[in-house]
Amino acid sequence: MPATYDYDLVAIGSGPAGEKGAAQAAYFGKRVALVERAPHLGGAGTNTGTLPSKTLRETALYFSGLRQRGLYGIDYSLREDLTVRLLMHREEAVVQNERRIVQGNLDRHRIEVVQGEARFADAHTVRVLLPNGGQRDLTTGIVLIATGSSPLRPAGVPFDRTVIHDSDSILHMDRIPKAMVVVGGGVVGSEYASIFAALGVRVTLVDSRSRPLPFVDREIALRLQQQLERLGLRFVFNDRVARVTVKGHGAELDLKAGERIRCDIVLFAAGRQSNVNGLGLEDLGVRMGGRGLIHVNENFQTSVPNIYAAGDVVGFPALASTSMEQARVAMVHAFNLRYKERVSPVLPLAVYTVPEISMVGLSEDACQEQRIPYLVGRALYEQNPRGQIISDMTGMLKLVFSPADKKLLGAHLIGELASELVHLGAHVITAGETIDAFIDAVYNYPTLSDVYKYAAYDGLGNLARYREERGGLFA
Amino acid sequence: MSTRYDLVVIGAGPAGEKGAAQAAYFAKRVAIIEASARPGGIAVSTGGIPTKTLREGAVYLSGLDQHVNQLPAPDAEDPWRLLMARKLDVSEAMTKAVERNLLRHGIELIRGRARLLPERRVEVERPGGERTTLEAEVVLLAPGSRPHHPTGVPMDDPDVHDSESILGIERAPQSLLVLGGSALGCEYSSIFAALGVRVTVVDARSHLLPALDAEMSQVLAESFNGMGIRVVTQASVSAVARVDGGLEAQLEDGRSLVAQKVLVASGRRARTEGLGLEEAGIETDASGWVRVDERYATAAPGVFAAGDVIGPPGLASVAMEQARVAVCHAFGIEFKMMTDRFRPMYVFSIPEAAWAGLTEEEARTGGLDCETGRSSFATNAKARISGFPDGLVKLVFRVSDKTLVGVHIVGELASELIHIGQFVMHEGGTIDHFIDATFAVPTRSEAYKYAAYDGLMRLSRRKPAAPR
Repeated sequence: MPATYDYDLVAIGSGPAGEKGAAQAAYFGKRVALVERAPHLGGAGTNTGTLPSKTLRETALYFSGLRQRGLYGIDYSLREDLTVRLLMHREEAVVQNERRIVQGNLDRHRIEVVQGEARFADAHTVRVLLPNGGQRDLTTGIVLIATGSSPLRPAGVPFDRTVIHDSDSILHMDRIPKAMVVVGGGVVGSEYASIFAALGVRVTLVDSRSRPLPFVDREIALRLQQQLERLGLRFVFNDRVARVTVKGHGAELDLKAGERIRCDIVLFAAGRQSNVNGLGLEDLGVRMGGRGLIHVNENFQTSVPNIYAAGDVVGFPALASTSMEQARVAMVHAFNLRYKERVSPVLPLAVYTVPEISMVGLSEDACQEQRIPYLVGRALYEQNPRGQIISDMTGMLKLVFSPADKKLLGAHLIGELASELVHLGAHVITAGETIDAFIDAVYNYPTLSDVYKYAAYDGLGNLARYREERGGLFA
Repeated sequence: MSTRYDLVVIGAGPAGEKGAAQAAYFAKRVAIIEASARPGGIAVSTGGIPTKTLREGAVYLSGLDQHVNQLPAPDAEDPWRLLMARKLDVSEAMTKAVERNLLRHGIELIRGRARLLPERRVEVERPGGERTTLEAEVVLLAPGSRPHHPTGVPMDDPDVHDSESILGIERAPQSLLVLGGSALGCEYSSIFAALGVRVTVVDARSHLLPALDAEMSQVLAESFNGMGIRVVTQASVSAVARVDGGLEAQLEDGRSLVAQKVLVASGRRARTEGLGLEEAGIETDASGWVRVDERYATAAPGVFAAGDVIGPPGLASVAMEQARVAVCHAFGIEFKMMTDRFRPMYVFSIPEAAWAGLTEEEARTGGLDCETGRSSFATNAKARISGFPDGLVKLVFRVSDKTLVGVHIVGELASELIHIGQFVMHEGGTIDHFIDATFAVPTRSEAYKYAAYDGLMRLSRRKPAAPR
């Protein structure tokens, strides 16, 4: 790489992908600049997406008494002073802290942050329009595009950030509504629908499909649906919004099937699109697909060899966790670091609904579709001592494993700490181990992790019956 | 009258219950003898389950889980009473679960005091005084342990408690002196401190929880200090006496400490009185723990022992596994022939502590060239969100090949998070496992990855730069 460039790497965007990619390159001695158009660091993950919604979720659990499930007879749900301001005060503190952590990480790695709008002048020159109206050209060997995504706004919907919201503006609403409609039962829609239901809002969730979270194991999704219905959430499946209008202080929705719903606030959570406008990618010949998704190879390299892209801007799964890993892999390839050459195919996913759910590996549905023989083992939180202590009567772990060799294929959780517990299953899958790994281990007592052992015992029981039914084939 | 069983188990705590269930699962005829009115042992009455219940409730009612975010704590008038009510509920539920499990496995539960006779016979004295003799092919001793009462402490004073009687108090005291920085001492110190009690914990050793990595013990002590707990180490208590306004503990260095109540948490002893160990030919060590071999067999043929009665670590998790392994060896069932080499240890203090594998000191003393990696929960998004970001994850690994040899966690969920590191050690894995793995965001589990990065950085600093 000729030394004539100002930088070895220019990263565009300071979200999880931009930050971690920049830090990785700088750690290995590269000269790095990072361009961010917003006045603050952290990207959507910090500022409008992951962190604020998870913070709101914690607050909702706390104030609703759901976290302790009213065990002590103290209930906050009808508190008069429960305002958006109180909920958001806390969110602001978490976001500020996260921005400081990102800033600290960039400082530690001596990464230069340039604030402004980036646009490619050529493949090796990023032109930054500075806030003061000036511009600055950064020449570089490698560029990492990590500009993230924005909510997709369906045509004909009168988004006004007061009554009709997308997932970016919903956290800026000024009052807790009494009634709310969420359109779209994907991750974002399901998370917000459950959080507001926990806060006592009458929530209706409308989705054109027949169940929430179609990529989640059916049994887990059904358990989630039942729990949310218990919280008072109403699901309308197999239907779409035909028309939405702002009426007075609220909204009126007409569904295709004929139902009319009145509510205070509508949240459209209908997917996201890449933030690529204004970058000038078309002129460079960077190949893109629908919704602005940048095409990349397995090294996260675009069709222009010195330009890489990672995170939401390349599409599924668009999670902070994977975005970071993609950016690290991109940098290893770009600078030949021989350090981390691929993103682990074992990808734990967490959805922060109330209750939270998580999964790794194959679901039952996926095994059926792919005709992979499988057995399951289940354990309920209510039979686990720690589950009893926290009184989580919904929680469950389901293991999916191979009947031939007991190898673990998938782990699916719903309930408290699902997002943490999934990593134990992920590590066992990565190691290619069997469900005996859970039988052999001692787990702390009382912990929820122990459900792995009891799900494995249940699995062994199912395996014994399976072998018996097959007439001593294995005897 | 005499009755024959394949297995007679003495004691229906975690070891007894799981050992009995294991044998019954493999079609053995099993009886279990329990001196208390209900099964479950201290795990459900005064030990692990109640402590964890109190701990969770104390964290919630004190608002500790939200203190970083300055949210108001729930407004409970008498938190101790609420916690006791909750503890009773959970204890009842878990006792029932043990009863159901015994019933489901067709295990005969016999109430009474057991005494070992020669030739694997067990005499049971029923509550009414009636005596029965059971004959067994195998006997599993799982009578558990009781709190140790040191000399010089007036245990008969109504304000002096051990870890069992403390659960009977009517209301939380103004001030509490905890004698012993053991697991129980740390648990109760932090639970009472969370409820607003002025707590002093005193220990003769140089740091709390001597089995814990010294650095992590310091981390825990700092967190304790932040909660207002006074930690006094390297101080031996010579005597406790009643004075005006409370109880006074005299330290050997001349100082004294005064508190309204005293909690003795200075270890446990085997509960073997009246079992007839000597006559049955069972050996014990100098501390009174029953001696067993790697199969958990005692010196008496056909008699096995598991759980607290064979000595440290005295954890329910370990007790259950020991009993399962003992039963498998006793009957030649090839299912579970050894306990976990990397069994994790845990303390349900606030914040929690958990560890597995070697401490840094153990690794260095053992001549291992090792390096460490750390990640503080203060920089972990999930820990910040949940409002209680004290503590850190510390990895200890071999310099030569990055093999993970120890994991140490202080912080909320430590008891759950430790199992990831435990599994990687089982695999003989390196810290690269955490680098390669994807962790869901935001989670506390992510701290493993950043601790591994920190470890790599320290490694690169101590060696000449690796060729690129």
